[in-house]
Amino acid sequence: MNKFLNNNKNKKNGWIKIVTGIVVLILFVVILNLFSYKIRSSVYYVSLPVQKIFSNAGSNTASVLSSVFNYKNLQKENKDLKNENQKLLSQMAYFYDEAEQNQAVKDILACSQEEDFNLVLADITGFDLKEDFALIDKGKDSGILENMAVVSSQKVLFGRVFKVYKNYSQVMLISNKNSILDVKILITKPSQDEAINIENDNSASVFGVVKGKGGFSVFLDLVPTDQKINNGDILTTSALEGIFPKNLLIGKIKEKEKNDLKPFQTASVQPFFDVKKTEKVFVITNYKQEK
Amino acid sequence: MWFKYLLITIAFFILALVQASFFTYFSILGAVPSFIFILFLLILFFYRKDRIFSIFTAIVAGFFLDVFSISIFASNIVSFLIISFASEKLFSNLKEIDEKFSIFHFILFFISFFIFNELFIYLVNYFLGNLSFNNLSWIFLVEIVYNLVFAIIAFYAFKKLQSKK
Repeated sequence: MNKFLNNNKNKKNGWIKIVTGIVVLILFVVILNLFSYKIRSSVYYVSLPVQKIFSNAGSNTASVLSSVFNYKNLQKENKDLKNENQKLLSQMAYFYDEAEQNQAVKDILACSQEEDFNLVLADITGFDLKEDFALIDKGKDSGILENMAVVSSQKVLFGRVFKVYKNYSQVMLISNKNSILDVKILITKPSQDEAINIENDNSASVFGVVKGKGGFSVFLDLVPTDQKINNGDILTTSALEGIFPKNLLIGKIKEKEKNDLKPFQTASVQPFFDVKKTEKVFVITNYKQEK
Repeated sequence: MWFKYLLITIAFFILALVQASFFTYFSILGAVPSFIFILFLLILFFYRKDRIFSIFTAIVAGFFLDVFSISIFASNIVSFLIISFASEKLFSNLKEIDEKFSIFHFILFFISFFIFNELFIYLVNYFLGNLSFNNLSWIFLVEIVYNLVFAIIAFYAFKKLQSKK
């Protein structure tokens, strides 16, 4: 009888311990979350100088190793780039000669023209690769706000500022699975007939949506099936969603997938951003939707 | 005594920095080694008799992972605490082979808690509405293998260290 009562008492005590433990844990989590902004800012403030050193060391080591291991690939890449460059040059010549007013050329040129953006230079100091996030060393103190566009010096879009802390910010890369942006597709290889059509019709731009896939990859979606897109077509921001300025470079179509059963075309995209080879980025601080 | 706690805090801090900056350049298909998780499990495995040290390790390791990740703050701490308590229960049930724990046991231990941790963090962020979180994908499998390689190397290093003591 006593043994039975003791067992019951032990069981009861066990449950009380578990419930108390859970309550304490929940309180602990709530308190930590209330102060998470200050905690993250403080730890980051302390660790920033060391993190920059590690980041630079990682970048340098990776580039040395990749040049050693990928010597053959580099040669091939170099050859491919030369070929591509020649193709692009001939295409440019074609555009200039045959269709000076072609909208696609205008758009490509617009990408390289200086626009009066206010830019804040920031160092990439870390990544959360699993979630396609980057950390930059500029925050509220430098005038950074949420949803500001983050680009490279060549105006390649990296993503947008997701969360701002006192002295650093988290950047959601366009490859994050929750990233969606409106894009314009610049038709770079039109046939003779199409080129004439485009010349006569300024509304020939094709629009779509670029979605993140995770793991630094993106894909093109929601392109109407009656619009013709080609492998190698360049994608730029269209500014329709109001977050990114127009004409920022995103990537090029790698392989289009057309399924007659689907109302839209999709395509895999080779993004232009390369987080492993970029140490500095710019945050556009003065872009507004009305621009 | 206190030196052990200080040392482990500094070690986790440095590992967090290395993991978030240096090793991101050595990712394989987007997977990076999680040294914090590896060290945490090694401590649970080799110092399983020291309950306070295990709990302290879970809080410190989880804290540094939370600081440098975009997941909901303290989700890693809670996950690590659960792993710490679960492993304690597991080891108490395996008392009879206490001194014979091998690499085989460690690999099983590592893979099961790695999967638990991934699922737990994902579900917490999903249900608490962290919209920035990526879905689980097959990269998860690459992560397990990538981390396991480092974990096995670290296991033998720890074992050697233990045998010297």
